[in-house]
Amino acid sequence: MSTGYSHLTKVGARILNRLNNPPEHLKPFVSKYTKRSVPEFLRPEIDEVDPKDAFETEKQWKYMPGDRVVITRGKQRGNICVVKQHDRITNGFILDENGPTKTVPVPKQFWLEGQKTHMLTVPVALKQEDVKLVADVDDPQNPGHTKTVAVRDVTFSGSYYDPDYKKMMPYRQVSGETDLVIPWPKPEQHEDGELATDAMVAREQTFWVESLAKNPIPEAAFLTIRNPHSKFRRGKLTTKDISKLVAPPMPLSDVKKARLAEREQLAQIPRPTLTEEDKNLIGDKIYEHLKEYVGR
Amino acid sequence: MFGTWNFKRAFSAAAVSWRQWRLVENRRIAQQPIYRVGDSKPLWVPRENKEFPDYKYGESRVFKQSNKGLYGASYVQYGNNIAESKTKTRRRWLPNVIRKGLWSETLERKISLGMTAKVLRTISKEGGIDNYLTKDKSARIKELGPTGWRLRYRIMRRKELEANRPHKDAVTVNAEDGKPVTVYYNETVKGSPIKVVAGKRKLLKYLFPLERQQVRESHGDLTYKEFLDKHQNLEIKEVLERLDNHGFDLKSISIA
Repeated sequence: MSTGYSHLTKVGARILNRLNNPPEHLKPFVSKYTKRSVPEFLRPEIDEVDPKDAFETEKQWKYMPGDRVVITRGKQRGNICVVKQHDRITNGFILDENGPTKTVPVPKQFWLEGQKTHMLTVPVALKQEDVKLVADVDDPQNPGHTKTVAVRDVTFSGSYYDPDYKKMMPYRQVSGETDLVIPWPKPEQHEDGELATDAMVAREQTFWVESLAKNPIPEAAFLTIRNPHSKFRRGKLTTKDISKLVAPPMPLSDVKKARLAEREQLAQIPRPTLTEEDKNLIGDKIYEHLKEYVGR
Repeated sequence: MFGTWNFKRAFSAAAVSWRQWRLVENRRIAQQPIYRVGDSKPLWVPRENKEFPDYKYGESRVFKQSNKGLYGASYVQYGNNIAESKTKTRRRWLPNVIRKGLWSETLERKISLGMTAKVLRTISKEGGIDNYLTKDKSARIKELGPTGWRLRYRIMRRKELEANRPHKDAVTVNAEDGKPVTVYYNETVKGSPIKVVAGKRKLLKYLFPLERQQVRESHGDLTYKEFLDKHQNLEIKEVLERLDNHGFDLKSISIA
């Protein structure tokens, strides 16, 4: 929610901020009114999720477009459908024509090509917990045949390069049976765009290191790859800078100066050291003493 | 059974220190980094030089008015009024703060600021605000506070400058016309001794137009600041020689 002048003024910013980031206890209340203000053909059937909770990885989605799933809740319970697309706003799955739909009025400016009436039947997204994956697995009773089963849950482990998805994908297994791998569906093929580079061209090596000592980048090109005005290039401290950063010392008082001078003078006085002669003298003295008192 | 007890009274008639050292000593002061030439510059360097030395105990976070005056480490204190019915009413005790202008002998001006009556008493015992501010005892340093510390710097600095005044040993003699002049330097230029009666600043002022003219002849220019950067650290003898080389009449700045 925003007003047209939020870039110029802070007036009402606190109120708007409150509407955009309602406190936890007001969230259901605010979302109810936000939902009510959205026309029905734009309104999702299931709740929108916080952007930070939105699914991103395959491990989170579990089922990809092309997977067959069975609906486990609602009027269409038991129907087997194909996942058509992910609904990123609600973390939901939009299924094919066997899935749930709703018929809603649509204003004319949103009409699709060939539409003749205001009423339009649109698919409804389903939550992840309301669908189960359907897979063909080997039938142990009829060897050589497969049977179609609904999988209670899937787990993931390891990863491999999937040439269809052109990236590393995790292995998808039946929960509790790690050797029963359910392959990912083949994604819809997209035609390469006009600006796309052919894979073979991209893989071709065109630069070869000739010397470790010589920099392959010409000197004049450094300005294009390094920012000389970067705030991280702060330069070195000079005496002038240091005089700005360091406070002047407090001058010493006469008393303190005298004390320091005295200390220095005391440090100058040579310390007497024990010579061999002194040690012998002490030794003799002790010996005399011991002879007199202990020897008796 | 108990023998003789070395009994100590739980209360004492001796004066309790009103100074709250806890509030002075326990302040958390950021440690200043050690800067060395050639180290990488910090993100921010102030524009102006720091004017005063850092006060070891920093500023007080409580009873902030004490940062502005000489409060002698006395702060606001809190307690209760207790009525006959034992009802407690919250109250506070403020130090007896007065505003006072005191003459500083060193700075030769009046220092007007807020201080507690106790500090004023101490100042009169010490024999003036200068003596109060410049005493070295650690308790005095603690009770000065940031303002007292700054004033202390002003006074100590002035005393130091006066003790090491430039040309403090310069002799004043009578010139030929009978007027007293101060001889700042006794130098020898090209074998002949001269008594210079102008200071270094004045000599540099005389040298500047001559040097600038020389630079201008080679189609350059010289500002006074650039000139000072180059010539400020020259020995007096060298300045005099340069003046002489430019054809400056050294007799105009010296006596026989």
